[in-house]
Amino acid sequence: MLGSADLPEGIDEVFGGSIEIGWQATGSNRYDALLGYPAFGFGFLTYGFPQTGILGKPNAFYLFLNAPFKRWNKFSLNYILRLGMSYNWEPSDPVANPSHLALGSYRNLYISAGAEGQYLIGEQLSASFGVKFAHFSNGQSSLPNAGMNLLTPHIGIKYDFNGGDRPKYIKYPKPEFTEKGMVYYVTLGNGIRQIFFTPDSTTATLLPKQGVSYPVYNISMGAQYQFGWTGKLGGGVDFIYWGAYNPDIELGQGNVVQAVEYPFSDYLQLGIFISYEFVLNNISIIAQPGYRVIRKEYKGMPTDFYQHLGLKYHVHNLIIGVGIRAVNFGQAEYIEWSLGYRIRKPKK
Amino acid sequence: MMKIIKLLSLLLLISISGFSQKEAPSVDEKLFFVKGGLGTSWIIMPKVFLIDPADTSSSQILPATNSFTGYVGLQAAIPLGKHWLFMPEIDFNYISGEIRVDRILNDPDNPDRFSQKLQAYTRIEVPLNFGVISSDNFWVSFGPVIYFTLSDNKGFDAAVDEIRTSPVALNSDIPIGMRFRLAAYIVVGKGMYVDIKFDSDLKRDFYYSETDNVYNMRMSLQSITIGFGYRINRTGL
Repeated sequence: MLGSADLPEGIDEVFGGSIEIGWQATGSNRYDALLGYPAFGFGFLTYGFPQTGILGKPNAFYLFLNAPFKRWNKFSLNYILRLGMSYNWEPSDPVANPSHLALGSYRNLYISAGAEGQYLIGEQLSASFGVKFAHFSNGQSSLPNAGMNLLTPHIGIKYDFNGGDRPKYIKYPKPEFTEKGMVYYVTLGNGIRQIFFTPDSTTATLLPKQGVSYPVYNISMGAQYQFGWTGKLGGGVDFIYWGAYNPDIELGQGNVVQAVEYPFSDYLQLGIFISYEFVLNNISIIAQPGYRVIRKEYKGMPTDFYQHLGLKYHVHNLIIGVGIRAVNFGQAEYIEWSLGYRIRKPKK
Repeated sequence: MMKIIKLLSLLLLISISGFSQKEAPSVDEKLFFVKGGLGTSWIIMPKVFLIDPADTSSSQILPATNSFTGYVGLQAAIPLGKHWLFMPEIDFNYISGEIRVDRILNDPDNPDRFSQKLQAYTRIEVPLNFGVISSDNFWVSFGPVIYFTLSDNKGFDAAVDEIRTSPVALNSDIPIGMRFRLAAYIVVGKGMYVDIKFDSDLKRDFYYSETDNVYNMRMSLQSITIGFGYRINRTGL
């Protein structure tokens, strides 16, 4: 992390620990063999920054996945993934914490990826060692959001509660997919987009550099064709309420600095998208690049071409989703949480 | 590089394979539960600012750190077909969050100040939620929650009072409101479940009313709780 006036040399030390409880896939699910018998579960971690107290002492709860690149007799080389929510950050604040310039929120999304080696040292004990990259961000919901990146080596011990009874890791041929057909869905999404107003703005002369939050709503209607165990392809339309249209602030009644308001129709946008969904059982990842075909232009508006990358979980036909809406393939606009419903029409 | 790693992370995370769902068991009778839970709660609101041209100072109001929430209540699960339930509930709820008011004076001889207080409410909540039954004794419910405020400790008003430089009239009363809830239920024994739920108040506001010279504040609280439910009309789930 780069330095600031109070900490000119920056922050380059972090330590932490984690505890995880998980399950080893045994082959009871058709996707187990396809993925090389992964282990999955949930965990808790804590980080500390010994050089400073301005960042807080973040903890996180998360889901994890460990799956093999390759297995040998007692050794496996795994990729490791974590996704969860962190808390207990000390956010940036112009009065209480002006030196912290990375994150403006107490709670931030936690995402991590890495690789580790795992060596069996007994019937029920394994040692692991590896390196992982962690990223903390709030998806522009509370500025500043430069994000926090940590690259950390780790060592650990794993204990097998099943008495050392491990699955056979048999590779089966992929079964034929017999439920090809159309899927129609609608989701309602919501997020928060924050915009910074700098002190040189006329009405904000006396303000510190601070952000104002705007709501964003989105109704997505789509149709997809499921062509195999792991794939759906389709397209649809986004009906968008873009609360951050032409953002500006003004001095209102009672000396309240408030967001400038516009007619309701100015906030509305229509986008069209293509949709690809990578399906694994009831969880799927959805990629929906889209293009705004109807919107009112304003100075500094985001590009018409946008990207939506998200996770969906299906409880029968109910859809629960979370995703990142972005432009320029990486510039986050907001984190979207969504609920929806699908109708499946398999071919007879 | 970071973007690639994030993309790969999301792509690979999907391969979690343990949440298997087969055909769900149906519920064919009304179920009644007594329940309670604990969790963390916090205040959210748009950052708002006040500028006082007379003394060239400004103030801003921000949500602060996490706090505590807890509830006890009664819940019903009424079947609405093969996979759907209507899940009305009534809860007695305590919820709190800290709020901070900064006063920025723009004066090198007079340092900026802030006041941080706990804002707490007790409420009666009436969730009118719909549930979906999954397999492996796993339910999800979602929908609106109507709440009625029974008491308010006026923590926000106290924070403003502590650092204000001139009298200011505040109205932070929220006698009634609506929340959104998303919950998951996992059966842990005969007639018992553990639930994890997320709640968010739906409206937040800060504006000045010229007619009565009052600043109106409506805070919004969010919470995550872990609860326990026990079936009371008969055993078995």
